[in-house]
Amino acid sequence: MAPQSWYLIVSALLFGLGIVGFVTRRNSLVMFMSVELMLNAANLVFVAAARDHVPARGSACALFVIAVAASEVAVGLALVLALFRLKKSVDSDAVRELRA
Amino acid sequence: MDLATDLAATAPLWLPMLGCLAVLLLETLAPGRSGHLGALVAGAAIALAFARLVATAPSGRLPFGMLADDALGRSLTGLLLLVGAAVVVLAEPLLARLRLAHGEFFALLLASLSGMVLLVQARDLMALFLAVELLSIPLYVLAAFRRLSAPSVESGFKYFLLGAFASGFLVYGIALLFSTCGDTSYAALARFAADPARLGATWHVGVALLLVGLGFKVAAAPFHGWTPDVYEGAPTPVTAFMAAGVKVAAFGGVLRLAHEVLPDGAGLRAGLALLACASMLVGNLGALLQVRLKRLLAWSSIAHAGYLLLGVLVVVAAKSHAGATGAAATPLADSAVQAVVFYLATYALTTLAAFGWILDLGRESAELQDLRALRGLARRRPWLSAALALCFLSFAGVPLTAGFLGKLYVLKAAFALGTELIVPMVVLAATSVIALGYYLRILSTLYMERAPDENAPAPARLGSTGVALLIAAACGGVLLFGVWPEPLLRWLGG
Repeated sequence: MAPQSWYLIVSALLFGLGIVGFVTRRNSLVMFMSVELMLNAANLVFVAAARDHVPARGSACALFVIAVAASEVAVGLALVLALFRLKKSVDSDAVRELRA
Repeated sequence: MDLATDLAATAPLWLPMLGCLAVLLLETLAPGRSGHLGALVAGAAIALAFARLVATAPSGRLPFGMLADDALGRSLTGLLLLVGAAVVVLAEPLLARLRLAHGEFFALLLASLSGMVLLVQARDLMALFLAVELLSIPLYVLAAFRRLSAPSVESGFKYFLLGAFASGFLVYGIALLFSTCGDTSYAALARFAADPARLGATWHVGVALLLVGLGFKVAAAPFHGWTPDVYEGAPTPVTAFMAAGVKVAAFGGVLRLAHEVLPDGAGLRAGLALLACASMLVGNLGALLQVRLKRLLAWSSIAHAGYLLLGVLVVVAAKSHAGATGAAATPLADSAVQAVVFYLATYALTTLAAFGWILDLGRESAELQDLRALRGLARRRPWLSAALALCFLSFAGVPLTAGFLGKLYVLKAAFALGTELIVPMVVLAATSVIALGYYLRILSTLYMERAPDENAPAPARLGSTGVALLIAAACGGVLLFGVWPEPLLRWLGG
């Protein structure tokens, strides 16, 4: 079996990829997908760490994260839709009403 | 582990949630007509929760093994319920005016409120994560509640994107802590952290990411970018809820983490001090440049996050002060916790008064929020001008207001540690002077300048007795607790 640290390295890569995607992309859907990448990096750590500790606990944490991420998607897509109806764009640079 | 006693002890947590379901049910049974009813049910649920809270004493048990039933949790819960009730009073007349009087608003408000209560009682990282999400997700919708108004939708959208980004940091931090310690309960984490030799890179990175995630929520610099836009675009009652409620809840969570879990260390101290100083400097300098009232309050809320973070830093640093003064460390940390809780109470009170003011006179129109619209207002609206002046004096920390005592107690707790935290203390003093600059500028606009057209009628008010009473009560509180803080201190002390 692969050692714990390998999983940590893969998850750190996923997490970093998520941050880079969020910061560099301007399409709000892609930005949100990058956030999902970050959440799943955490899930990977939970599931991998569960093997060394109490397995049920790590899996339960991962399940919680999946459920919360799903409800966040539901609200997030509704907001993107509301924005699209007003602006005809999902680009995060298109929202510039509020400025100093 | 008796279910009935656990449920009884956590009534303030699930009663708002029950109210949320009741409002949603009402909305289904009487669609479109449940606006006023929704406000009533929300008020009743919050009142019941508050009555349960006052009627019982903290048991010190751990309901469901994940929550705390102690003095800290209870005083912050009481504060949050009062903020929730005030927001119901603020929102009802505005929603009626905008023809948005739907029950959903109050359902979302109650859901978010129960998330806040969960956050100040959480003693498990998973409960903390759930609480942060339960308070945030309804708030994204509330910020965008005027879904045909571009600024409101933009505010909700920006809050959502950055909030989701922040929760990514929070969850990854929790996952790293779990992988190194094998548990998520605060008790187990504290036992694990008691031996510094065991704390490897994974632990430190985990703590750092956790603080980044929570830093977004409390609007601490450098994670404050979303704050001005979101505060300005959201409907004013929602902004009040964000500014007062989220601040109290998120700092409650941070405070408990700092008090019960995080071990003192040079890295943690440097990180917290950096966050605190950056927030104080960025918030106050940013506020200097603002010409609109809501944006100005947003920047000032960033600055207040910095003052509060100094209090959290004192809590952490007081723990290892034990080496010098023996058993005196625990009372030191406790008094720092007390100081932060008192600061939160005064900040919430002043914030509610200020946003109530904006709602009453600004009526959600952008041009009335321009600071130039305030010129010479004191002659035409003397009472309202005095109320706003009082709020700004309290934000600035002028003596005889509650805000002064809030700052004083935090500084006193920091002084008890000697010169260990001298840099953030100096920054606090220096930035308070900067803050006085822009707060006094508003006072001079109100009292010294002349309106461009002296004969124009005074701006109309919202005309809600509830909002007017709320402003009066909050201002009365700011004055009363500024000269006689004992009742508030005793109540917050549990």
